[in-house]
Amino acid sequence: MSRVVFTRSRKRAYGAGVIALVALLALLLWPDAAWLQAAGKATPGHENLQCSACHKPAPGDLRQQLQATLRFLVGLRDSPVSIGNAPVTSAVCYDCHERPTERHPLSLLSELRFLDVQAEHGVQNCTGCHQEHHGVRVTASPKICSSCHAEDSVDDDPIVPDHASLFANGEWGTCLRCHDFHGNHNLSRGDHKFPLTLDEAVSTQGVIDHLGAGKRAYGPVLHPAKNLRSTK
Amino acid sequence: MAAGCSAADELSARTGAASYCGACIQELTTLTGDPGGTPVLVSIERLDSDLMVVTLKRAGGEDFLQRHVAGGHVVLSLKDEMGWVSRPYTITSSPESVDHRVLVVRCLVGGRMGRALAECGSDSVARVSAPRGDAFVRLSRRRATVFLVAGVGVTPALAALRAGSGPRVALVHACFRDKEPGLTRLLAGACAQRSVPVVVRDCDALGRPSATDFTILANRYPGVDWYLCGPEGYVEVVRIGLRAAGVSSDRVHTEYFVASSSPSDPPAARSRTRAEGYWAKTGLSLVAAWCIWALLPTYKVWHEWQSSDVWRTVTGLVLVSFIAWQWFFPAVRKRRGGVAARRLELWHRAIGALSPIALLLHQRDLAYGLLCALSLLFVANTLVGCFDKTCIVDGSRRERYMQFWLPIHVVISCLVTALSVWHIIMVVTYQGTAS
Repeated sequence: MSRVVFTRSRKRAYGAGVIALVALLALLLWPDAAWLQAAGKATPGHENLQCSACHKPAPGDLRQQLQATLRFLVGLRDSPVSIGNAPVTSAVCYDCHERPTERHPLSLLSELRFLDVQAEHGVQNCTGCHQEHHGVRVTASPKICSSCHAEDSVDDDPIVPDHASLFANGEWGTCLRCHDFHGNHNLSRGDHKFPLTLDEAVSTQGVIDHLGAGKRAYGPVLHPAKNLRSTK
Repeated sequence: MAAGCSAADELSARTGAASYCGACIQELTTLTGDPGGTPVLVSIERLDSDLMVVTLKRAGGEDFLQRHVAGGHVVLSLKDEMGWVSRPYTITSSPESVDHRVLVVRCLVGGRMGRALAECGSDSVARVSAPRGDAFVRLSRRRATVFLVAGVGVTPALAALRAGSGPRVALVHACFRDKEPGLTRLLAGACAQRSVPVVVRDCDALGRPSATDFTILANRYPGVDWYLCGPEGYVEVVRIGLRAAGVSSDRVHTEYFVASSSPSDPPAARSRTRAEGYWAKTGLSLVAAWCIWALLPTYKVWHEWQSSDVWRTVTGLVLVSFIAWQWFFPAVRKRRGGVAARRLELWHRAIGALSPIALLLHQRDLAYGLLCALSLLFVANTLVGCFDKTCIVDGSRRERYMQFWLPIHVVISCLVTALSVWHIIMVVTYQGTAS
């Protein structure tokens, strides 16, 4: 079959296309620009982590992974496999974020009695509340507290206003002003482990900043994340 | 017709229509249902893959009654399943050869005449009009003429070379695709007979002539007439090049070589222009819709049904198919030429204009980093596509505009394709979090 004239302007255009592709390839291979390839902005504190800090290679080599995927697709295998990298699990988070004083351990949140809240919020995994690549520390709504604590009662409640009236008014945004979800910060005020009034508590804006990407509003960190300094 | 004209040639003689270049002869044939003319026997010799030399002889073996002038043409008519198909062709045989006439015919992909010629057996009967027109009427017989031709636009040069009484040919400069061996052979033979220098340029390898080439030609052949014949784009490039090289425009004579119309073509052409405008407006509207979606926070309402893997896979495949299809167009242009690609051009334009819909269905937010760049480039390419060459009416300005527009469109297309491949790899190999 005969070919047609590939005019000079077309040659120039496709030449420019090739140059653009080479530039893109260089960008993709440039280690300092790896952040451009992320699904979103890193969680505060994770900015300097390499992708491989969380994304671990899936078992097997690429050929085996593709073979197993193909077998799954044609019904010769019961479960799919990961290609390239394995899904990020809570175990990966625990590599750095060990919590000996954890108030809401995953072992607790994984119990069958929390099946509804597991289905709704995925609280059995760290990522239920802390999704990566969203540029904020917490992606869950503060109202998540109501999923388990809506019917709680506190005997001899020392705080003002008391818990019962806060629950009745649906003021779930105030929980985190006095309580640190994971118990990893010192929120004590004088002799009390927690603030007794909302005036003593962390401000609403402080909580919003803390859960978002702003300044940390809670007290000193009890158990800082490990290994961060060892990664880039 | 009220005056009793029952055939196209009678109508042409009566009204003067189709008597200069013959471009509107098909309309006359369609109007009358009869092309008229002389029955002739057709014999065909394949020249190149899409070129044939058609020799016409009168059915009774007699000579043709009328000699043609150099640069004249005849209307060849063949009957196919839709009726008579009539096309004008330059006569390339010598005016002295009255026992036969030779035409060089390029068969366009899907063209009626090409199909009719391919289907007619050797010695099939066709009709041919009396010779008419004189393409060289404005050329001075005192001055020499340089022919700058491309592709099957070489036929006027062949006609001039073979006519003793035609213009004096100083040089034939021909641009052929991959040297089109059949055409090259034909031209070289005709030039050798008249001892006329010939330059054959392989446009596949060298592209069209450059400004330097035109300057060299203008300096080498001062005071000659210039006769340009070929596709519109080629002729415009050469015309502009010669003007830039200082050649006076009254010395430059042009003949565009375009695909002839079929009976339904004029309304089709009009509807095509309307369609081009329609798709450009549709594309611009959808780009505007995408911009509003990207700027307003309310777009997040889409999340519910966009978050499922099945939905994202299906819409992602739609986008991949779209990108693959859009590359099919330049591939066809490269492999089979502009005429074949032109059939796909409207589809290329229509699907490109509608592409923001697929993006809106697939995309959940503006994303981040390279993924954000991908969606912005995708929409930017739709915008660039809406402002393609059809915005420019003037041929020479359109050529200049294309030189600026095409690299932008190609560069963005390359980046969108590469980034899409990157995105697919990332989606497959980085599966996010465990559920």
